[in-house]
Amino acid sequence: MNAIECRDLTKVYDGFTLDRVTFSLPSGCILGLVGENGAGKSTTLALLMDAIGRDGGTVEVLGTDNRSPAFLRTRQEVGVVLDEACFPEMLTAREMGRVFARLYDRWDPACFDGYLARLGLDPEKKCKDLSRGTRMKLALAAALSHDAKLLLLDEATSGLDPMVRDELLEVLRDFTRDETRSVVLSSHIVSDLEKVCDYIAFLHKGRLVLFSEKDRLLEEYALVKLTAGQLEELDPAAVAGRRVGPYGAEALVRREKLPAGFVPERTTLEDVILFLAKEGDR
Amino acid sequence: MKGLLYKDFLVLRKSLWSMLLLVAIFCLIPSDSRFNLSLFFVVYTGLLPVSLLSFDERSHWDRLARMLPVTRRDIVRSKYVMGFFLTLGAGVLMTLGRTVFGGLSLPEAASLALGAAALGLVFQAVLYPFLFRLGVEKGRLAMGILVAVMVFLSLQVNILPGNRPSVGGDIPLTGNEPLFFAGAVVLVVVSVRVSEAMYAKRAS
Repeated sequence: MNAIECRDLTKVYDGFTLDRVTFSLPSGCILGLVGENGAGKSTTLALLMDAIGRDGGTVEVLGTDNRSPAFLRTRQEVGVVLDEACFPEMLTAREMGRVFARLYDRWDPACFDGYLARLGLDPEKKCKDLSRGTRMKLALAAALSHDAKLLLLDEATSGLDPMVRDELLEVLRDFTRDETRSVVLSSHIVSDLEKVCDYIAFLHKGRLVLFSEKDRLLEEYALVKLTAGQLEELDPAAVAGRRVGPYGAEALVRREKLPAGFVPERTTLEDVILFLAKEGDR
Repeated sequence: MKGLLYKDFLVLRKSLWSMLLLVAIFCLIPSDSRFNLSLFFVVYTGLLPVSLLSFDERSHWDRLARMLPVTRRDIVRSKYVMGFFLTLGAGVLMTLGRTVFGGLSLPEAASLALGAAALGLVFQAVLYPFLFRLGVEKGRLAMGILVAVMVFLSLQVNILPGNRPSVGGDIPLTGNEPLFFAGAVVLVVVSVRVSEAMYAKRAS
């Protein structure tokens, strides 16, 4: 079963359109949703949960149409972490646990306490006294404590120091050891996504430019350093992106279409994203 | 909805203690005072749920709430339920306080509290749709206007010729308080429907 099935998802705002986004995420996988600020990542996540109205398309989450009455039940199986945690400032972690215990049927207080201890959180501290990183840890602890089958994390690692980010990513890896569990992690920190994701979706200006398995993506593309003249002679079908400077050129190429004689270098996810984004703007 | 109400209760805990204290203080005000206790009661109970919405807005709780296992209808109705019980709770306190400390008979105090609770519910019923449509920040203007109208009407009621003299410097007793309260409840039910529609529009 797919954890998410999203077809032609469309949302129109003044000055921005999320344009017919289509993808499927198999269960047990982590999807990295990458894109610049304002690309439509948060909008996509909100639409997946039917938190905002859509202007077109269909969405199924954990096999349930997100517009059907049954989706209220499905929400019990989805853990959400938003970029600001969004917990009332006056409440402590312990009190938030009590609130969630009344919202989620399968809330597990022992599991929550376990995560608080593992992530070094003081249960009696008010949310307003927590740093952003600690608030995000708290939000993640809450999202993981009701036996969720799907986690949606919206920019959960942004603005956090590398140590905290690594800690959160480790928790996500543990979560997906059970193959019925899936994660969507939106971020513009591509290196984080490269570490944990199985699939990458790249949103650029409201359009889904790319959806692929991460490993296949890194196998498919390579970087080539060449002269501007050589770049012009290359088959346009082989070139996915280019960067021309005064001292030469660099191109993101499709390995299988690259003629012999060039030395392809292994690329990073960040390079692929940057080249594709610039090519898209061209 | 249980979780939403519990969250609101936790957020309002401190305010509830201040409410108790203020009601207690005002119950001790001598009955020949010109201070209009009911007006205070109306405005204060009306403002508590507004504070809740304001806290929610500040922490962006609403964004998260729309992704939790609750419906939009639950989100709207939980505020009304909280407002209703706050109003009733304050009414009971006012009745007890004015009977024990204010020198009023129980029927007088209860009628006063019922009339005031009816005004409190009307206040909320009129205000909420604006707040759910515009948010607290923009809705403050509507709230300011509403408070001003309430104050003005309250003054008019107190000086209307033919009204029975007010008790304890309060709104005049008419004997129709239960009817006013029932009317206010009907208005609240209508207001819930309007707020649900307003909130759905805002959330889209």
